[in-house]
Amino acid sequence: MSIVLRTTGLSKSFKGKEVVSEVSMTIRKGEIYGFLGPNGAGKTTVMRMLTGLVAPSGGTIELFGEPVRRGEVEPLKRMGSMIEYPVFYEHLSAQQNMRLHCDYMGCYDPDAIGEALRLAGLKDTGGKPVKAFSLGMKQRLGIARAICAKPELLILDEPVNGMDPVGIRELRELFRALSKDYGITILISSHILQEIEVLADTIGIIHEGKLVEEVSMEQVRNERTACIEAVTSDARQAAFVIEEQLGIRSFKVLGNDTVRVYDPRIAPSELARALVLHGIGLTSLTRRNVSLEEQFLKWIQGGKSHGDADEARASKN
Amino acid sequence: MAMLMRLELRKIRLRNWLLSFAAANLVIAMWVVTNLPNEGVRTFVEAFYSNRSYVEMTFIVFSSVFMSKLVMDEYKSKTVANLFAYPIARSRLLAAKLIVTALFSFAASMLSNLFVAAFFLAANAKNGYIAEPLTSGLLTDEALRIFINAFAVTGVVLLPLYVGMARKSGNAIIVASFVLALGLGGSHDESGHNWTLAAAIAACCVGAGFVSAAFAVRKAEREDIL
Repeated sequence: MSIVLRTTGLSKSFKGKEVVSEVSMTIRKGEIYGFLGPNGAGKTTVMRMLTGLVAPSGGTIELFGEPVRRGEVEPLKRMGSMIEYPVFYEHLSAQQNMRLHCDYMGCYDPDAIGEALRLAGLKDTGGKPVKAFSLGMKQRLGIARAICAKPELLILDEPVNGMDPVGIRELRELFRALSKDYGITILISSHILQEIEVLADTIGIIHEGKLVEEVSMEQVRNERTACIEAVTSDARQAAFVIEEQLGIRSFKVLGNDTVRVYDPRIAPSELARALVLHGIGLTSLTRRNVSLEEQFLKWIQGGKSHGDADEARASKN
Repeated sequence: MAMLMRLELRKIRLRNWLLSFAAANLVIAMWVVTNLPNEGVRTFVEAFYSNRSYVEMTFIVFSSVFMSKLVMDEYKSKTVANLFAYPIARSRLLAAKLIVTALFSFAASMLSNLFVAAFFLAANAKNGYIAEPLTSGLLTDEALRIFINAFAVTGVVLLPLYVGMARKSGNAIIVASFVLALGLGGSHDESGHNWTLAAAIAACCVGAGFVSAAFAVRKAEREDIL
């Protein structure tokens, strides 16, 4: 799969303070890349650098296989973007704003505007000026504008902000369709983990300006630390058996009856047998997956493993 | 470039600007015919000089407001982030705005001067404010002065752009233009029949305006859009 975007050591400083530091990310053709990070992590600054609005202090950007030089505008012909809050010429209608955009982009397909507005769910706005639009409508119009010139790379910064749940679902379907049916590569940022979890093929985690992880969602799903949750008659006794008899140190005691075991080597049946053999009553035994939220917190807390953290807690108990 | 300039005109409410232009002309014309007779003006040269002063002061500020809307409003409303994400060099995008501003200033100065002069001459023919005969030589000279002064006005209008871009403020442009209008309005007309001096002063104004615009564009090309 060819690479659409690659940054190497991308950095940006404002007034001596580094807000983006050595970000190296790779986005492949046709994939949806979820850019995750807390507010102020540097997502928007990276996106502004990719669209030429902000000049990098260091590092390189490669778009469509070619290095991007400062002030170069050629790659922008193949890109669409909506960064932060979508802004328009407020006294103009949606159609007029779209027509302006198409003329600047050199897109003269007569059906492009109608199709983009239809895809974004905004076909009946008439001559109403944009200043009369709701936030959700502006978000949709911003997305319509970003896709109407049929870009190969779409950069969307928090595109579902201000949308209702129905709208979010519609846009999710739209992004999937743009990726799968039209082959558009999408870089989408969000701090809403669930949104990215169901949409992205690859995720990049940015925290305090640094890309702390870049991984495919398939890998995340496969490697997610699973835990076995055992509800027993005596959690303290169960913890003793788990630690002394089974030699497992990654576990956590919750209350008087529940123990969570994070060691992937132990099978549920083996755990059940050990507990029952030592006379501990077993009410239930379930396998739980760590949510992306927990995984995300793990990544941004400096790669400390779930088991390590819990081991420390378990030792205190 | 012509297409970029057309796109700029589509972003503004051109009809409102033309109506404001017409209203400003009517106000100046009414002011001139009611005020000039009381100023002790006795010759057509003096009358034309006063007319041009009023027109220039008005349209230096008016055109600066126009430029502020065209350039600084993009920064204020943040649409500049969309604009600079298009596959067109920032220098070309800004040049289109400045050429539209320059053409607007030049045309506004020419048309307004011609209209106000014609209005005054019509009123004078009826009321006889000035006793001396109106000769074709006087009219030709005045037409030439109006033409040269339109260049000067265009240059002066572009001067405050650098201040506006440095402060990212439309108000800074308007205030600076107001100061320039008070300071320069009509002063470059005192060249009398020395056409070389008049042309040199106009060329200096155009040159200064061009340099200010070039520095402003250069600054915009390098700065980050946040």
